[in-house]
Amino acid sequence: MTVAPDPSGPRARRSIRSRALPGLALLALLLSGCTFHMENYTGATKQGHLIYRLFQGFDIVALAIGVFVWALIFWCILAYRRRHREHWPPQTHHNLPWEVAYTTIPVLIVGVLFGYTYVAENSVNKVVANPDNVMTITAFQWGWKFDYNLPDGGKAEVISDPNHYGTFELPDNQVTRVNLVTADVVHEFDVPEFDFERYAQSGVVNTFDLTPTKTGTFIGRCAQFCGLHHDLMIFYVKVVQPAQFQTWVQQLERPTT
Amino acid sequence: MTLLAERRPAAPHEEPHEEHRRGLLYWLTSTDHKVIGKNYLVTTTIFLLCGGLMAMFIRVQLFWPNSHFTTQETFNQLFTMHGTVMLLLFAGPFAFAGFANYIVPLQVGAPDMAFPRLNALSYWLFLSGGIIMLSSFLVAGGAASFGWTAYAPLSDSLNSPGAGADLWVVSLFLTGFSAIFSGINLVATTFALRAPGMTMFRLPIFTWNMLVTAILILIAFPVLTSALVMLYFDRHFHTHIFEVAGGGAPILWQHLFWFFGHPEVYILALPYFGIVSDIIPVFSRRPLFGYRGMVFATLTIAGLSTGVWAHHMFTTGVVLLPFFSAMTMLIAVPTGIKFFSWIGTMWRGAIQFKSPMVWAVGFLVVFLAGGLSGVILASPPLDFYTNNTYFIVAHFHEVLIGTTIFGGFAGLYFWYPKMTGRMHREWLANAHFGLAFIGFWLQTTPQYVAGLHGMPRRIAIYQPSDGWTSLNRLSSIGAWCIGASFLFFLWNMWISWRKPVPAGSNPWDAGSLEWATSSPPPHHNFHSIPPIRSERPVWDANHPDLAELEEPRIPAEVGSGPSGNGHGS
Repeated sequence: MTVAPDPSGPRARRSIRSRALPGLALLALLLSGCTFHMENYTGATKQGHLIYRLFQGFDIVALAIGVFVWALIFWCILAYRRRHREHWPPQTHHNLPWEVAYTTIPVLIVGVLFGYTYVAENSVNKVVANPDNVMTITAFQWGWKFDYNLPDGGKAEVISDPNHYGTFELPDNQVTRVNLVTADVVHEFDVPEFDFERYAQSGVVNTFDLTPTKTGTFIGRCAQFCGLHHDLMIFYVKVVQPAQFQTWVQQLERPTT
Repeated sequence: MTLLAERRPAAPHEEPHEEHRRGLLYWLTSTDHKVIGKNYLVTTTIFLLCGGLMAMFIRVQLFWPNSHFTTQETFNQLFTMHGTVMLLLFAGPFAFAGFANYIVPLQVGAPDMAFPRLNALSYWLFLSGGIIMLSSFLVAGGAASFGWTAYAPLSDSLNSPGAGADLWVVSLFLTGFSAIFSGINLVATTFALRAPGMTMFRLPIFTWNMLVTAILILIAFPVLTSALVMLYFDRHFHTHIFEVAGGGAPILWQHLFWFFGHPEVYILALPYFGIVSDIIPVFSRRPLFGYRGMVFATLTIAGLSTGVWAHHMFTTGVVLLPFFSAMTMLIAVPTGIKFFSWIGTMWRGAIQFKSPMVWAVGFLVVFLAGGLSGVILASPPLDFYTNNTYFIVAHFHEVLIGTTIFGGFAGLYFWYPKMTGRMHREWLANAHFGLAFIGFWLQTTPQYVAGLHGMPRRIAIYQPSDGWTSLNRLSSIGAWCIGASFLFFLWNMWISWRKPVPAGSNPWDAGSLEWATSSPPPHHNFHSIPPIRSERPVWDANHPDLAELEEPRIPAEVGSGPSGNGHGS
């Protein structure tokens, strides 16, 4: 047995290229399935929009790497098939420069991704010293209670449960501080169009700021499985102009306690 | 060691009937690693079909908005049991107990596992645990319905009363011990029973990965097992470990569960990486490119995997985001090294697309998608958007189907001739692949979109106004394609059982030691072992001219060589 010569003569090359076409078509088909970066919500809050922009960056990097590696795999499939029984390829065990390259380049890419992540997560999680409104959201099986601390010292509340999905309002372009707690099991506050979720857990008060930048009504849900009627923990959040918000919040029912 | 009388070498046409006839007693009492390995493979494949059937029902329920195919409670039980059965009764034991048991002793040139009786105990614990798990559907109130993650306090006696939840805990306790015993056995076998000449750096990558997996099992499973004991005590003896009211902390469950759960993900993945690392060189007619890099990548993945558990808890607000994010992203690096090693092996090779290679390349293509969305999820802000949505569901199904189905069935078709002495039908194996591959993309891609459109996981009912209907329909059709593809598998097994085609000892012209013995191997595995001078001793023996092309990578060093072992060959 002898080692066959490298088959990549000009003729072999041409046939590889012609055979590469269906492969590339298949690749395009696969990639067309990966348009999920087009499907992101843009984030209807200041914080959510930061998340959206970070997501765009990650999508581009992930797709670029994906296309590159898939292309390498498909190239191998198409170009390096066994030609005949006595086709013995070179028995290469390793190649140090290549191995160093494919170790260090990913480290650098990960470093850049981590840097952007670090900056974004600090902005998203930042809570300002003087929020315009303060509210407490309490999750329970299976609904939500939205309590506003009013400037006059009073309190107002909205309740959402499976019999009646409630709507709470937020003022546009103002900072609303949210303290998130649970009355029983773990729940997760989730407003998809804010690109934002946070757990409500017993023993923990989670605090975050929401600064809506778009008026409208958005659906909210519980994302963490919490028992029988998990799928009915729906609520709505309506972002309105600050003046309209004040009128609305003043006419809310005030709990007697 | 209890070792049975030597079986006579396989005569493929009559041997299965022979085995069948003396089946039950032999099967019940055997401590032969090959019998136990096959037991595990058959049992876990049955669990795969059970878990898959549950998935089919889940996808029927989600096919229509506002669907009433099942009740909500049944749906909750179905996805809880689907997750538990697939992860803990199929994906893990299929590899670290099934393949590892059968293949590792053969690859290191040993006559059996280090502790054959412990091995048998491990199997029977696993089988009992599995039967307990599935039988929990039969008790009053039905099976556990708190999700496979069993978050406290949903899993306490107040929120999840009933025997189903207790059976879930007890079952995982038993299978947890089974896994720990398998881990001990694998570590001992790899370290102590290697044949003369089989140095650590001549071990096939599959065995390396099984060794590292076994070490991860010994790190992770005791944590799960003790957390389960705590949960059981909370449920029955009022210990309040996970209850705020009694001074406990529910968040502790998440920490303990994921400290098990994330190494577990690599316990599920590494064996299948190992399988693929063994298959690709064989069908590319080349040695594995960057063998040592591959070993160190595996060790790095294992090391990092013990420091990433809280990436499941980014939205809890109580974990150090930058640390867990950085550790998680770093895992992409050794995983990338593996990808480039596999591609480097195929590069300029002479690739032959036999069914194991088709499945292995399929694994590369699909696992990449899951890996890339994993890097997205490693970034906490992006997790704030996608946590607990179908985006996550799509991610981990890509990763897990990629490894356990594509990697696992690559391995099954690769070693099936070795284990049974007969060939499967290539076209059926390829048809199985084709349908599963199409189903895979059809199932997972719409789930990413549904997740980004806000669909939370684990919901039984959605509304037409949510806009997820067509996405769920595509996904259901995809899942059913994957389910249907297993009919080809069952047909294949049936045909090869009824109409055997003898395989011979080395049908793929493979290089590692298991191909040096007959198919199936005799009772103590080897009548003789070829000299071991590289990680491909059988290839060296069959292709001496090509073996000379190897650089002398491993000088005959002193001291780090093979340990003596009991079989005295």
